[in-house]
Amino acid sequence: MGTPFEDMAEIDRLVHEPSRLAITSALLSCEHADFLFLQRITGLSKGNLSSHLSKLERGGIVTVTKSTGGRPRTTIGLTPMGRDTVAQHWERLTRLRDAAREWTAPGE
Amino acid sequence: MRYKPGVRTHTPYDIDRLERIRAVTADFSGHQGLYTALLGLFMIWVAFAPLSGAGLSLVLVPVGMLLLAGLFMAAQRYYRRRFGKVRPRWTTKRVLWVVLLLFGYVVLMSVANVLGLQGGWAFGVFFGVCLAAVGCSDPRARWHYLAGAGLVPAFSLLPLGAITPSGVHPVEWEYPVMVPLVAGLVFVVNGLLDHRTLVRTLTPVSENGTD
Repeated sequence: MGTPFEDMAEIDRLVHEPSRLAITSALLSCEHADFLFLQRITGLSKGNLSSHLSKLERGGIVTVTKSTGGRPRTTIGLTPMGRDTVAQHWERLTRLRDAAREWTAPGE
Repeated sequence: MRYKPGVRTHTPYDIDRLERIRAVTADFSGHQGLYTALLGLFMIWVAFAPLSGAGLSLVLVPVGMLLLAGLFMAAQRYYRRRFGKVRPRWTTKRVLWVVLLLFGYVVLMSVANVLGLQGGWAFGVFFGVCLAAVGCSDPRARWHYLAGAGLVPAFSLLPLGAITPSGVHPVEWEYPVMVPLVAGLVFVVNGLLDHRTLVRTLTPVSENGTD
Protein backbone atom coordinates (compact mmCIF):
# COMPACT_ATOMS: atom_id res chain seq x y z
CA MET A 1 0.00 0.00 0.00
CA GLY A 2 1.45 3.41 -1.01
CA THR A 3 1.03 6.82 0.57
CA PRO A 4 -2.19 8.72 -0.25
CA PHE A 5 -0.24 10.87 -2.73
CA GLU A 6 1.11 7.82 -4.54
CA ASP A 7 -2.43 6.47 -4.63
CA MET A 8 -3.67 9.68 -6.27
CA ALA A 9 -0.91 9.56 -8.89
CA GLU A 10 -1.83 5.97 -9.79
CA ILE A 11 -5.53 6.64 -10.28
CA ASP A 12 -6.90 5.16 -13.50
CA ARG A 13 -8.39 8.14 -15.33
CA LEU A 14 -10.52 6.03 -17.64
CA VAL A 15 -12.39 4.62 -14.65
CA HIS A 16 -12.12 7.62 -12.33
CA GLU A 17 -14.21 10.01 -14.44
CA PRO A 18 -17.38 10.46 -12.28
CA SER A 19 -19.94 9.13 -14.75
CA ARG A 20 -17.77 6.16 -15.70
CA LEU A 21 -17.05 5.44 -12.04
CA ALA A 22 -20.80 5.32 -11.38
CA ILE A 23 -21.27 2.90 -14.31
CA THR A 24 -18.38 0.62 -13.33
CA SER A 25 -19.32 0.71 -9.63
CA ALA A 26 -22.77 -0.58 -10.50
CA LEU A 27 -21.32 -3.26 -12.78
CA LEU A 28 -18.82 -4.33 -10.10
CA SER A 29 -21.77 -5.36 -7.91
CA CYS A 30 -23.45 -7.62 -10.48
CA GLU A 31 -22.67 -10.06 -13.29
CA HIS A 32 -24.18 -7.75 -15.88
CA ALA A 33 -26.92 -5.16 -16.27
CA ASP A 34 -28.94 -3.82 -19.16
CA PHE A 35 -28.73 -0.35 -20.67
CA LEU A 36 -31.94 0.88 -19.04
CA PHE A 37 -30.76 -0.04 -15.55
CA LEU A 38 -27.45 1.78 -16.01
CA GLN A 39 -29.31 4.79 -17.35
CA ARG A 40 -31.59 4.79 -14.32
CA ILE A 41 -28.90 4.30 -11.71
CA THR A 42 -26.48 6.88 -13.15
CA GLY A 43 -29.04 9.46 -14.28
CA LEU A 44 -27.18 9.83 -17.59
CA SER A 45 -28.91 10.51 -20.89
CA LYS A 46 -28.94 7.77 -23.53
CA GLY A 47 -26.30 9.53 -25.65
CA ASN A 48 -23.99 10.23 -22.71
CA LEU A 49 -24.23 6.67 -21.44
CA SER A 50 -23.52 5.27 -24.92
CA SER A 51 -20.48 7.53 -25.25
CA HIS A 52 -19.06 6.49 -21.86
CA LEU A 53 -19.71 2.82 -22.60
CA SER A 54 -17.86 3.11 -25.90
CA LYS A 55 -14.83 4.53 -24.11
CA LEU A 56 -14.94 1.82 -21.48
CA GLU A 57 -15.34 -0.86 -24.15
CA ARG A 58 -12.36 0.50 -26.10
CA GLY A 59 -10.34 0.46 -22.87
CA GLY A 60 -11.19 -3.21 -22.33
CA ILE A 61 -13.12 -2.48 -19.12
CA VAL A 62 -16.60 -3.58 -20.24
CA THR A 63 -18.20 -5.84 -22.83
CA VAL A 64 -21.38 -4.70 -24.57
CA THR A 65 -23.67 -7.41 -25.94
CA LYS A 66 -26.68 -6.64 -28.11
CA SER A 67 -29.36 -9.33 -28.30
CA THR A 68 -31.44 -9.44 -31.43
CA GLY A 69 -34.00 -12.14 -30.59
CA GLY A 70 -37.38 -10.66 -29.59
CA ARG A 71 -37.14 -7.25 -27.96
CA PRO A 72 -33.69 -5.72 -28.62
CA ARG A 73 -31.71 -5.46 -25.40
CA THR A 74 -28.21 -4.23 -24.68
CA THR A 75 -26.40 -5.97 -21.84
CA ILE A 76 -23.23 -4.61 -20.28
CA GLY A 77 -20.76 -6.42 -18.03
CA LEU A 78 -17.22 -5.92 -16.76
CA THR A 79 -14.43 -7.92 -18.41
CA PRO A 80 -12.19 -9.91 -16.00
CA MET A 81 -9.53 -7.22 -16.43
CA GLY A 82 -12.14 -4.50 -15.91
CA ARG A 83 -13.35 -6.16 -12.72
CA ASP A 84 -9.80 -6.20 -11.31
CA THR A 85 -9.20 -2.59 -12.35
CA VAL A 86 -12.44 -1.30 -10.81
CA ALA A 87 -11.97 -3.34 -7.62
CA GLN A 88 -8.44 -1.94 -7.21
CA HIS A 89 -9.75 1.54 -7.92
CA TRP A 90 -12.34 1.18 -5.17
CA GLU A 91 -9.69 0.01 -2.70
CA ARG A 92 -7.67 3.09 -3.58
CA LEU A 93 -10.67 5.41 -3.18
CA THR A 94 -11.50 3.89 0.19
CA ARG A 95 -7.89 4.39 1.35
CA LEU A 96 -7.99 8.01 0.15
CA ARG A 97 -11.28 8.63 1.94
CA ASP A 98 -9.90 7.21 5.17
CA ALA A 99 -6.73 9.29 4.77
CA ALA A 100 -8.82 12.42 4.10
CA ARG A 101 -10.73 11.84 7.35
CA GLU A 102 -7.44 11.54 9.25
CA TRP A 103 -6.06 14.75 7.71
CA THR A 104 -9.03 16.87 8.79
CA ALA A 105 -9.16 15.46 12.33
CA PRO A 106 -6.14 17.32 13.84
CA GLY A 107 -7.49 20.74 12.80
CA GLU A 108 -10.88 20.18 14.39
CA MET B 1 -29.73 9.85 -3.75
CA ARG B 2 -29.36 10.94 -7.34
CA TYR B 3 -25.89 10.67 -8.79
CA LYS B 4 -24.76 13.97 -10.33
CA PRO B 5 -22.61 13.36 -13.42
CA GLY B 6 -21.47 16.99 -13.50
CA VAL B 7 -19.39 16.68 -10.34
CA ARG B 8 -15.75 16.25 -11.32
CA THR B 9 -14.16 15.16 -8.05
CA HIS B 10 -15.07 12.51 -5.51
CA THR B 11 -15.63 13.76 -1.99
CA PRO B 12 -16.36 11.28 0.80
CA TYR B 13 -20.03 12.16 0.28
CA ASP B 14 -19.80 11.18 -3.42
CA ILE B 15 -18.17 7.92 -2.42
CA ASP B 16 -21.06 7.31 -0.05
CA ARG B 17 -23.47 7.80 -2.95
CA LEU B 18 -21.45 5.46 -5.13
CA GLU B 19 -21.61 2.91 -2.34
CA ARG B 20 -25.39 3.37 -2.34
CA ILE B 21 -25.37 2.57 -6.09
CA ARG B 22 -23.31 -0.54 -5.41
CA ALA B 23 -25.60 -1.68 -2.59
CA VAL B 24 -28.79 -1.28 -4.66
CA THR B 25 -27.23 -3.00 -7.69
CA ALA B 26 -25.87 -5.87 -5.60
CA ASP B 27 -29.33 -6.59 -4.21
CA PHE B 28 -31.52 -5.25 -6.99
CA SER B 29 -34.07 -8.06 -6.73
CA GLY B 30 -34.18 -7.65 -2.94
CA HIS B 31 -35.06 -3.99 -3.36
CA GLN B 32 -37.97 -4.82 -5.67
CA GLY B 33 -40.27 -4.52 -2.70
CA LEU B 34 -43.60 -4.95 -4.48
CA TYR B 35 -43.00 -8.72 -4.47
CA THR B 36 -42.48 -8.70 -0.70
CA ALA B 37 -45.50 -6.44 -0.15
CA LEU B 38 -47.71 -8.70 -2.33
CA LEU B 39 -46.52 -11.77 -0.43
CA GLY B 40 -47.41 -9.95 2.79
CA LEU B 41 -50.90 -9.17 1.48
CA PHE B 42 -51.33 -12.83 0.57
CA MET B 43 -50.33 -13.85 4.11
CA ILE B 44 -52.91 -11.47 5.54
CA TRP B 45 -55.46 -12.95 3.11
CA VAL B 46 -54.55 -16.46 4.30
CA ALA B 47 -54.83 -15.35 7.93
CA PHE B 48 -58.47 -14.46 7.45
CA ALA B 49 -59.47 -17.12 4.90
CA PRO B 50 -60.95 -20.18 6.64
CA LEU B 51 -59.07 -23.38 5.82
CA SER B 52 -62.09 -25.57 6.51
CA GLY B 53 -65.79 -25.21 5.80
CA ALA B 54 -67.84 -25.41 2.66
CA GLY B 55 -68.77 -23.43 -0.42
CA LEU B 56 -67.16 -20.12 -1.22
CA SER B 57 -64.90 -20.05 1.85
CA LEU B 58 -62.96 -23.11 0.60
CA VAL B 59 -61.87 -21.44 -2.63
CA LEU B 60 -60.54 -18.27 -0.99
CA VAL B 61 -56.96 -19.56 -0.59
CA PRO B 62 -56.66 -20.92 -4.19
CA VAL B 63 -58.19 -17.69 -5.49
CA GLY B 64 -55.64 -15.74 -3.43
CA MET B 65 -52.81 -17.82 -4.94
CA LEU B 66 -54.02 -17.14 -8.46
CA LEU B 67 -54.31 -13.44 -7.70
CA LEU B 68 -50.81 -13.48 -6.23
CA ALA B 69 -49.38 -15.17 -9.34
CA GLY B 70 -51.08 -12.60 -11.59
CA LEU B 71 -49.89 -9.67 -9.52
CA PHE B 72 -46.34 -11.09 -9.40
CA MET B 73 -46.28 -11.18 -13.20
CA ALA B 74 -47.57 -7.60 -13.35
CA ALA B 75 -44.88 -6.50 -10.86
CA GLN B 76 -42.20 -8.29 -12.89
CA ARG B 77 -43.34 -6.51 -16.05
CA TYR B 78 -43.39 -3.15 -14.24
CA TYR B 79 -39.89 -3.56 -12.80
CA ARG B 80 -38.38 -4.69 -16.11
CA ARG B 81 -39.92 -1.85 -18.07
CA ARG B 82 -39.19 0.84 -15.51
CA PHE B 83 -35.83 -0.15 -14.03
CA GLY B 84 -34.28 -2.63 -16.46
CA LYS B 85 -32.61 -5.92 -15.65
CA VAL B 86 -29.64 -6.97 -13.55
CA ARG B 87 -28.06 -10.38 -13.18
CA PRO B 88 -26.82 -10.60 -9.57
CA ARG B 89 -23.50 -12.02 -8.43
CA TRP B 90 -24.03 -15.03 -6.21
CA THR B 91 -21.11 -14.43 -3.89
CA THR B 92 -19.97 -17.11 -1.44
CA LYS B 93 -21.05 -14.88 1.44
CA ARG B 94 -24.62 -14.70 0.14
CA VAL B 95 -24.87 -18.46 -0.42
CA LEU B 96 -23.47 -19.08 3.07
CA TRP B 97 -26.11 -16.81 4.59
CA VAL B 98 -28.93 -18.77 2.92
CA VAL B 99 -27.44 -22.12 4.01
CA LEU B 100 -26.85 -20.82 7.54
CA LEU B 101 -30.44 -19.57 7.89
CA LEU B 102 -31.93 -22.85 6.64
CA PHE B 103 -29.65 -24.82 8.96
CA GLY B 104 -30.52 -22.48 11.85
CA TYR B 105 -34.24 -23.03 11.22
CA VAL B 106 -33.87 -26.83 11.32
CA VAL B 107 -31.74 -26.68 14.49
CA LEU B 108 -34.09 -24.27 16.28
CA MET B 109 -37.22 -26.27 15.49
CA SER B 110 -35.53 -29.60 16.35
CA VAL B 111 -34.28 -28.32 19.72
CA ALA B 112 -37.67 -26.78 20.51
CA ASN B 113 -39.42 -30.07 19.66
CA VAL B 114 -36.97 -32.22 21.66
CA LEU B 115 -37.30 -29.97 24.71
CA GLY B 116 -41.06 -29.73 24.29
CA LEU B 117 -40.85 -25.95 23.98
CA GLN B 118 -42.43 -25.70 20.54
CA GLY B 119 -44.58 -22.64 19.98
CA GLY B 120 -45.08 -19.40 18.16
CA TRP B 121 -42.01 -17.90 19.90
CA ALA B 122 -39.67 -20.14 17.87
CA PHE B 123 -41.12 -18.81 14.62
CA GLY B 124 -40.84 -15.24 15.94
CA VAL B 125 -37.17 -15.66 16.88
CA PHE B 126 -36.30 -17.24 13.52
CA PHE B 127 -38.19 -14.56 11.62
CA GLY B 128 -36.33 -11.92 13.65
CA VAL B 129 -32.95 -13.45 12.73
CA CYS B 130 -33.93 -13.48 9.04
CA LEU B 131 -34.96 -9.82 9.22
CA ALA B 132 -31.68 -8.95 10.98
CA ALA B 133 -29.69 -10.74 8.25
CA VAL B 134 -31.42 -8.71 5.53
CA GLY B 135 -31.08 -5.46 7.52
CA CYS B 136 -27.36 -5.99 8.16
CA SER B 137 -26.71 -6.27 4.41
CA ASP B 138 -27.29 -2.50 4.09
CA PRO B 139 -28.15 -1.01 7.51
CA ARG B 140 -28.59 2.57 6.31
CA ALA B 141 -31.10 1.83 3.56
CA ARG B 142 -32.73 -1.20 5.19
CA TRP B 143 -33.03 -0.01 8.77
CA HIS B 144 -36.70 -1.05 8.73
CA TYR B 145 -35.63 -4.70 8.66
CA LEU B 146 -33.55 -4.12 11.78
CA ALA B 147 -36.54 -2.46 13.45
CA GLY B 148 -38.63 -5.51 12.54
CA ALA B 149 -35.83 -7.78 13.81
CA GLY B 150 -36.25 -6.15 17.22
CA LEU B 151 -40.04 -5.91 17.27
CA VAL B 152 -41.02 -9.38 16.03
CA PRO B 153 -38.98 -11.43 18.58
CA ALA B 154 -40.06 -8.99 21.31
CA PHE B 155 -43.71 -9.54 20.34
CA SER B 156 -43.13 -13.31 20.35
CA LEU B 157 -41.18 -13.53 23.60
CA LEU B 158 -42.85 -10.95 25.87
CA PRO B 159 -45.49 -12.47 28.19
CA LEU B 160 -48.41 -11.01 26.26
CA GLY B 161 -50.66 -13.92 27.28
CA ALA B 162 -51.35 -11.96 30.45
CA ILE B 163 -53.38 -9.40 28.50
CA THR B 164 -55.48 -11.80 26.35
CA PRO B 165 -58.89 -13.03 27.60
CA SER B 166 -57.83 -16.70 27.36
CA GLY B 167 -54.41 -16.13 28.95
CA VAL B 168 -52.72 -17.70 25.91
CA HIS B 169 -49.93 -15.82 24.13
CA PRO B 170 -51.17 -14.17 20.87
CA VAL B 171 -48.67 -16.03 18.64
CA GLU B 172 -49.43 -19.48 20.06
CA TRP B 173 -51.21 -21.94 17.80
CA GLU B 174 -54.51 -21.25 19.57
CA TYR B 175 -54.66 -18.07 17.51
CA PRO B 176 -53.86 -19.28 13.96
CA VAL B 177 -54.60 -15.82 12.54
CA MET B 178 -51.79 -14.05 14.40
CA VAL B 179 -48.61 -15.57 12.88
CA PRO B 180 -49.53 -14.96 9.21
CA LEU B 181 -51.05 -11.60 10.16
CA VAL B 182 -47.93 -10.33 11.95
CA ALA B 183 -45.58 -11.75 9.30
CA GLY B 184 -47.82 -10.34 6.55
CA LEU B 185 -47.83 -6.85 8.05
CA VAL B 186 -44.02 -6.91 8.43
CA PHE B 187 -43.69 -8.03 4.79
CA VAL B 188 -46.01 -5.29 3.52
CA VAL B 189 -44.23 -2.49 5.44
CA ASN B 190 -40.72 -3.69 4.53
CA GLY B 191 -41.67 -4.28 0.91
CA LEU B 192 -43.11 -0.81 0.46
CA LEU B 193 -40.07 0.81 2.10
CA ASP B 194 -37.73 -1.23 -0.15
CA HIS B 195 -39.71 -0.12 -3.18
CA ARG B 196 -39.43 3.50 -2.05
CA THR B 197 -35.63 3.14 -1.76
CA LEU B 198 -35.47 1.74 -5.28
CA VAL B 199 -37.62 4.51 -6.75
CA ARG B 200 -35.54 7.18 -5.00
CA THR B 201 -32.21 5.67 -6.06
CA LEU B 202 -33.04 5.00 -9.70
CA THR B 203 -33.82 8.25 -11.47
CA PRO B 204 -36.37 8.64 -14.27
CA VAL B 205 -35.03 8.66 -17.82
CA SER B 206 -35.95 11.43 -20.20
CA GLU B 207 -35.96 9.34 -23.35
CA ASN B 208 -37.60 6.07 -24.22
CA GLY B 209 -36.09 3.56 -21.82
CA THR B 210 -35.50 0.80 -24.35
CA ASP B 211 -32.31 0.53 -26.32
